[in-house]
Amino acid sequence: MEIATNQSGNVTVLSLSGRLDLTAGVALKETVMKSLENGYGKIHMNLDKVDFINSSGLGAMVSVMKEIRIRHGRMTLSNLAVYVNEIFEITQLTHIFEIFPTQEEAIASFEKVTTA
Amino acid sequence: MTKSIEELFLLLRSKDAGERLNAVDLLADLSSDESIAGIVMALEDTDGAVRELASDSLAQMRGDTLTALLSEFLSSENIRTRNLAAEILVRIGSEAVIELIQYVKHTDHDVRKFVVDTLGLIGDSRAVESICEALWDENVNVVCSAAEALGLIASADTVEALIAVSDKIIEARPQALEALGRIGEDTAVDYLCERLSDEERLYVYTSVEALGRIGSAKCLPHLLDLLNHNSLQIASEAFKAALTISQGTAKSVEECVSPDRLCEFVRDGFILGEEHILNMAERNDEIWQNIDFIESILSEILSLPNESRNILIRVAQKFSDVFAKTILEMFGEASADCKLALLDILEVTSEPAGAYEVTKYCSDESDELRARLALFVGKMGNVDSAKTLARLSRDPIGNVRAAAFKAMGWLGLESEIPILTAGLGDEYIDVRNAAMGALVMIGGQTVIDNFTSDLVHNNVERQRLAASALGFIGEDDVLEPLTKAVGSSEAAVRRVAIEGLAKLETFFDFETVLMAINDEDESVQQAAMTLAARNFPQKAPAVLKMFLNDDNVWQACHAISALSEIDSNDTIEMIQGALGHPNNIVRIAATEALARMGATSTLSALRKQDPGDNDDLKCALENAIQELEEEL
Repeated sequence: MEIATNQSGNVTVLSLSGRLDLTAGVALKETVMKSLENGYGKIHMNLDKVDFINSSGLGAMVSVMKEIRIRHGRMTLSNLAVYVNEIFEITQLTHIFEIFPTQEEAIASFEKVTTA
Repeated sequence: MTKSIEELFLLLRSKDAGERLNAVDLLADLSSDESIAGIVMALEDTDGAVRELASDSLAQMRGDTLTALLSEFLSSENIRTRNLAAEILVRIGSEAVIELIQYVKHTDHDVRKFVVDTLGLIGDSRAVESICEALWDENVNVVCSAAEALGLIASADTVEALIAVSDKIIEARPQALEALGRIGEDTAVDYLCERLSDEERLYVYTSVEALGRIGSAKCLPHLLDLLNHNSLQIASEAFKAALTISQGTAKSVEECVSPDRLCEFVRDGFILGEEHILNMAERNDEIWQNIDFIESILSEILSLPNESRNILIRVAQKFSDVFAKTILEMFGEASADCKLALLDILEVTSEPAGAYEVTKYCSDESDELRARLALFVGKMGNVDSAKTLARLSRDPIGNVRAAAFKAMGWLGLESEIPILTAGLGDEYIDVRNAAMGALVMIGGQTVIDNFTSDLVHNNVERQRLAASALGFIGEDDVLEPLTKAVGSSEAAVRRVAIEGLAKLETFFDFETVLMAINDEDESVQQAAMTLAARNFPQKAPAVLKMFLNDDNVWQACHAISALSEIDSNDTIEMIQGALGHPNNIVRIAATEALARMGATSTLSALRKQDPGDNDDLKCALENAIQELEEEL
């Protein structure tokens, strides 16, 4: 799993690629915590190049989301591949995460929060 | 057989509504003056469908005869007929204006009023002169209608006449003032400002509204004077108008009112969804320190338009502490519907500790609320909610149980594995899937062991859920049980096991794939084809090739789809070969696959294809050729 970090305005954009499993989950948590410690609470994850997520990967995502919430931040996701979307549906995480079709839409949403 | 117009008129008098409907339909096709007269008669039919068809048919027609006939109907004693005629005339629009103007001086004042109303709704400026004359009609109702109509037409030339009428015919003043606002000319501002001193509140209110519409800055001081008017309605309208005129940027507007009154204005603005007030409220931090004010807005949450709710959510995020505290205080007294709406806001304000407080309402009579609360506490991630969720997992309503299981999964508590495992045997599939999804979320060795045991459960559904879950858990530990599950006696289990294996990077057992590819069940074969292509791209083409000539076209199509995932010249060649398949469905699948693969080398072969009279194949070929040409 590779995690590329970029800033888009005041939103930290994490572009993930590869398999999001136990090992990658640890790396993801570290990256998000670093961003939070640097004062960036608005985080977007582009999952375009993620081709696999398992339980541990999902656990890591829920865990970082909780950390972000505790710090009054916000996290969005975009570009879910078919399989990734399938596991999000199975685990009903579509209710938990704010998921957008594209990164642009997700980043624009930080400008204007609307009802879920 | 074609019916004569006489016969159609006879049919219009038939007792059978269906025949009358048919007659109207046929008369509409004739489109002559006589037939129009017949359809106009049908406007008075006792049957609603006949009247509706007559009305729709007439609205499509044009011509003086029609307008004249309809205008006559404006004097009908039957109010329904009169309204219908007016409605059709409005739909006819400008073409009816000249004919209608003749009726502005009708002897019957009701007809005059109706004609003026209709002309106003049509909104054609050619009627202005006649309507201006109607401003001085002997009947005050006609005068009021004329003033309204001039407002709708909005011609700047009528400002003077409207001011004169407002002054001389007091009963028509509200309509005249409103019309001045609609016209939007600066020349009316001074007069409207004078009206702000009227004793009659209706005139003041209407003038304020009109000034807001005109939007001239010179009336701003007058509007600010009204912000503390003893009529809240007038003051609120003045506030809205002042904000609109100042484009929401003038701090002075907010500073001209007391904090309490400002809160009242904002509350009204939220209820009505007034843009300028909502924007002002969002940037005014002070008002959100007032808990009573927040509570008064939240108590109206069910009647707030979406824009207002959205602003409220944004503000709530900013002032989360005060909002969370207020919502939790009022939550107990709120109705179930109101609680549901409040949860939307609480979701953006609460921290796990605060959110736990709502769990005491998880016994509410409303199952929708119980389900929503279960999801809410799961989303908030408070592990202390586990007991409440465990109780809701035994709720008599399936949706609530499903919500409780989903929430348990989000909390990720291993201690809840036994409860979730019990949920796998629920009578409803949604609940079973929710329990399975939650166990996938929790993952870990215990869950894997439980699902591995379930692969030989005496209930086939449990076997299917287990195989599916193990696939999603996706750790190396699931490799062995899933491989075993491929040998299940149940096709559904074999299929999901194959699908699960396709997600594992560490699966290298091609022999298992070969067995599955030769399975007796088509769906297992198809899953195995996908697995072969993904995990064994070198070996798969040789095996998948045999399916390209399968008697079952769907197996052939699936083989093409699987092969198209392997990017090699061999697979392109194989798929190109399928373009010659005797079945067009396979040819279409092959064409689309080649386009998907960007196989530009096959362009020549695609161009040579003859789709015959099969439009779908023709379309697929055209699209594929276009896509590949663009790639070149």
